[in-house]
Amino acid sequence: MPRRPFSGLNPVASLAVGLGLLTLFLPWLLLKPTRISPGVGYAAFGLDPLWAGGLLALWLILPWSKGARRGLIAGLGVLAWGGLIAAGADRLLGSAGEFARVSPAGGLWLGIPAFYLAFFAAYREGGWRATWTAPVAGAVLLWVGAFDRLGPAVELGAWRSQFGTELWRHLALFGSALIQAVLIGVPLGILASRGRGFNWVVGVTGFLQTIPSLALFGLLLAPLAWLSRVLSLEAALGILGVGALLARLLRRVGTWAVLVVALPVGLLGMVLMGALLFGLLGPDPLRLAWNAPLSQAGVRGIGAAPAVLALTLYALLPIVAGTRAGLQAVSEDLRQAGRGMGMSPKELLLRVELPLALPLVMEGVRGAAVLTIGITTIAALIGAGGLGFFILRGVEGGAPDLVLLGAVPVILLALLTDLLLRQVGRWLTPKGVR
Amino acid sequence: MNQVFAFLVALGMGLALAQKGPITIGSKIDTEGAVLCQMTRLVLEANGFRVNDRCSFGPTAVVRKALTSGEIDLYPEYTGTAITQFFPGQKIDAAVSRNAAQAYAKVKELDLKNGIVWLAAAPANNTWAIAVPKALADKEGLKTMADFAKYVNAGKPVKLAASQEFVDRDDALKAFEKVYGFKLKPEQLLILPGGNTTQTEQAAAQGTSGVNAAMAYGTDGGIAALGLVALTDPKGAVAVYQPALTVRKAVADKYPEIARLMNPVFAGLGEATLSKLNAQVAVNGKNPADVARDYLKSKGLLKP
Amino acid sequence: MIRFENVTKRYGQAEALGGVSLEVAQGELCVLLGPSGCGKTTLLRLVNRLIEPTSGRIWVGGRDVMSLNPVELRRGMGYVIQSIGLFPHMTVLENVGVVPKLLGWPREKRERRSREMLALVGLEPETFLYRYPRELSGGQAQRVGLARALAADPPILLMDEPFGAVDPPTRARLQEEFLKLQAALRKTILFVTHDLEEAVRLADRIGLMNGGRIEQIDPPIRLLTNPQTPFVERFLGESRALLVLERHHLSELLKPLQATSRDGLPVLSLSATARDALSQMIVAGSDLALVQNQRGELVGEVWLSAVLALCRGARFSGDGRGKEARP
Repeated sequence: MPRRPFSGLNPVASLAVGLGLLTLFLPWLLLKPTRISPGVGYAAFGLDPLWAGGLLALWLILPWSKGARRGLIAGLGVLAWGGLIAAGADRLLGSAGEFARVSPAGGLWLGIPAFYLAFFAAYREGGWRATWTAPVAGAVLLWVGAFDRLGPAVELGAWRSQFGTELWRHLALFGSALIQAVLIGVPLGILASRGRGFNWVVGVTGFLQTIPSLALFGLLLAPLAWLSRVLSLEAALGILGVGALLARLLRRVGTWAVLVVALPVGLLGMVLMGALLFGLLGPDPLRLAWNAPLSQAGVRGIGAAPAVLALTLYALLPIVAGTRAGLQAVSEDLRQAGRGMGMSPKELLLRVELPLALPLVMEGVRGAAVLTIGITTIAALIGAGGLGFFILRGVEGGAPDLVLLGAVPVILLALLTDLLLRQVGRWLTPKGVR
Repeated sequence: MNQVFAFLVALGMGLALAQKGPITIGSKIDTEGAVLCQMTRLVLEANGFRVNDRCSFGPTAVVRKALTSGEIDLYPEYTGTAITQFFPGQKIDAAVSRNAAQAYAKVKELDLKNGIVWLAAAPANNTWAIAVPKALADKEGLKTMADFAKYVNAGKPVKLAASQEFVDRDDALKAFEKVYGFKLKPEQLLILPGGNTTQTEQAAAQGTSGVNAAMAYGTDGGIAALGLVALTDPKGAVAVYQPALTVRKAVADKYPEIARLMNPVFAGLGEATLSKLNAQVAVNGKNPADVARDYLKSKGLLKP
Repeated sequence: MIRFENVTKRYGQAEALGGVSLEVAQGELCVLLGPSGCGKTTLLRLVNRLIEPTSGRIWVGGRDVMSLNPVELRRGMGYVIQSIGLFPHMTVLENVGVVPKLLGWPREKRERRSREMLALVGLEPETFLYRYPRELSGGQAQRVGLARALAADPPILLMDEPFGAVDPPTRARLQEEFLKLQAALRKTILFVTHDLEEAVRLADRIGLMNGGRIEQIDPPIRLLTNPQTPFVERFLGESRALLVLERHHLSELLKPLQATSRDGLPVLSLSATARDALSQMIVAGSDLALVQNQRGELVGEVWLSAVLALCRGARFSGDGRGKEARP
């Protein structure tokens, strides 16, 4: 059979090459007289013909290789990509004014999915042996500072002292909210799966998600500020204790009576727990004094307390829904078997239902985590900081580079969290049902 | 003996430090707010206050609520904003709002009932303005709003980028039109919903959709950098927006030195100065804290 | 051991059980038989209080179940259900050890017990102990289910169509082994099935149920030969005579080996039933079958006449009302 010249081409790699070649004709860098001025775009060959030519050559030979060699070529491509960025930025800024900026543009960005596809093709052929070049090339580019003259990096230079703190705050807000949402959402999901009477749980958590964040902050500000002044830590803990007892006593009267007590007390508990978690995880020191006003412990109308509370409320829905779906997916036969063997409801839940529901619960947690990493940017609206600070300042000041300084880390964190929680989910999935 | 003395001094200083504050300061999430907030922080810290830095934490509504509910102790606010937003029950004469001194006095008087003290305002007016590309201004001889009115009435091409608010409010575009005698047709407006001045100024600078005039604030840092000029308002058509620190009364009473320390700082902040400082942040991308520190040192308000 | 006293169960207007009285003696295997919806499973679940009666009383070991803690009551009896109900996230070891663990047995004792139980139901412990349920065949899973029910050595077993989900050859083998096991263990067993053959093969007594009542309760042969109501006669069907043969093993009919030629003669095992022999003789067209023991040595022969004599010996009754009632 005569061999046709294109018959052996990997379609994914071909797509990568198509994208990669396209990038060479799009603007890579925008030169702007100042960070807020409009820019002029420069395409690859206009920036540095040598690097651009190298990149073109690498894209052209990529389809004719396979596996580990394809990975190697893609890795070299990433280096050429970074080299072109660095050389182009140097050239543009060399002849420009003191406040001129170079910002990333379409061609540069599009290179990322192009390389992703190329490495994906290589991974399918050669596994990790073919893709080790990706992290190595990325690390090399960061190490030699290929991106250091790009706008977002310059913004980072101006905001370096804040950036670390805000990143830490972002992670601490996210972590506090997620931990709290899991602690509350899983029991709520269990409750919601208990049929008929508890469908309102999902309804309520769904409703919470529809409240605009700014409105929620506005609603929370005054009552939280009031609480922080009138309550001391010991009084708040006392209220929690009395509330829990009262809710238990009122169980006889009916669900609604329990809710009347449990909702406000539960919210108070969430506020306290959120502030406490953030105090433990975050960069701002936690001061606990029994009889000082709650504001000393970080419970305030602005700052972390309302932010963590709002983020927790937003994160509840995926967790509640996941837990409920997981529990409802447990077959009735297994419940019958467990009950018939003499498991109490608690034992049935802990030994049979929850382990089996765990994969779906983790799916819910993963969804909530990715969601929360993103919406933690709204915390900056209420003075809690986080990476949203840079995004808001950037939008307000018309500085796209500053927006990127906030947005790019958020995207990276979201991807990383997703990857991490997928792995955790795999670990937690019982062997027998994997 | 010397050691004991040193210890006592240290103790005394420690007590003095511990006695002042903490003062929680905030600002809106905009450039000028950040610069003013950082100046306040630096001056107070240099004079022995413990300061909680909540600069740049939210939009007007949130910051104001935070102040009135005691979440923060002070933040910089504009007299014009107060007149238009904080006293919904009050009928305030438009003439008052257009006169800097009267507006400040009125606001100070009214807000005291809310338990908020206004420190001295900066002699800068960060009010609504219309900015046009410098090339156009030079060619057509546009300096004031009166020139702009003549230009519009001559039927020459104009397209103004503005927010919905700027067009709708009685004290913004409509006030300019009434006082200077011109009228922009709907097709001469490009409305950017929720737009801020940075976006409108960028539109005018780039000539997006034929835009050659932009809604702007008087002390915006980006005007010069984008190659625009703000047209002056000699007849005082719109309300005056002077920045001043608003302080909770309890705090102002407890620490009268805050006013003593901050009033001279604000007194030096004229339109040109604020505009330059804003530009360093907004255009040059410097950190507000660095800009504030450099300025205070250069004026001898902060020991180098 | 288990006694129902005029037990009724209603769901709203619907009557699931309408006054059932029944006593199961210690060591007896009592099968509840009937069409679906007849109330047999309901009756079974009343014993371990998965369902509670509307009226009437249920006694287990001389105590009213309603006076006992349901959780402890259930731990005291083995429970096997049709879908087996093995927990997919637990190994065979953990599955078998569920009730011992609930009872707080120490780990080594649980593991030792699990090994014993697997061996008892004919599974090699080393091979199966660490497998997960999805790695088992249907028959293996059934055995594990039985091992799990037996693990804490309960005096009572409740079995709800335990062999319902396996293919017929496997089911036959499981039934055979189950009978051997029961012969050794002498548990008190309440066994629900809708399969007449299974009931005849296993039961000491069969309670045939219909519409929430027990129509007739008798040992299998008596039930087959003396149906008391038209429903029973109809349910047993027209080949009920053949099922009588199911209860007789060839050992009862064995004659010393005399056949001179073995060509074309069917060969059956000693544990086969008279019904098997009849079937084989029909297939081979002979009136004689040979019988061999487990080692494959011929031990005797069975004549068609002897098989037919069994049927003749059974005194069948039935006045034909069952047939008339048919549409």
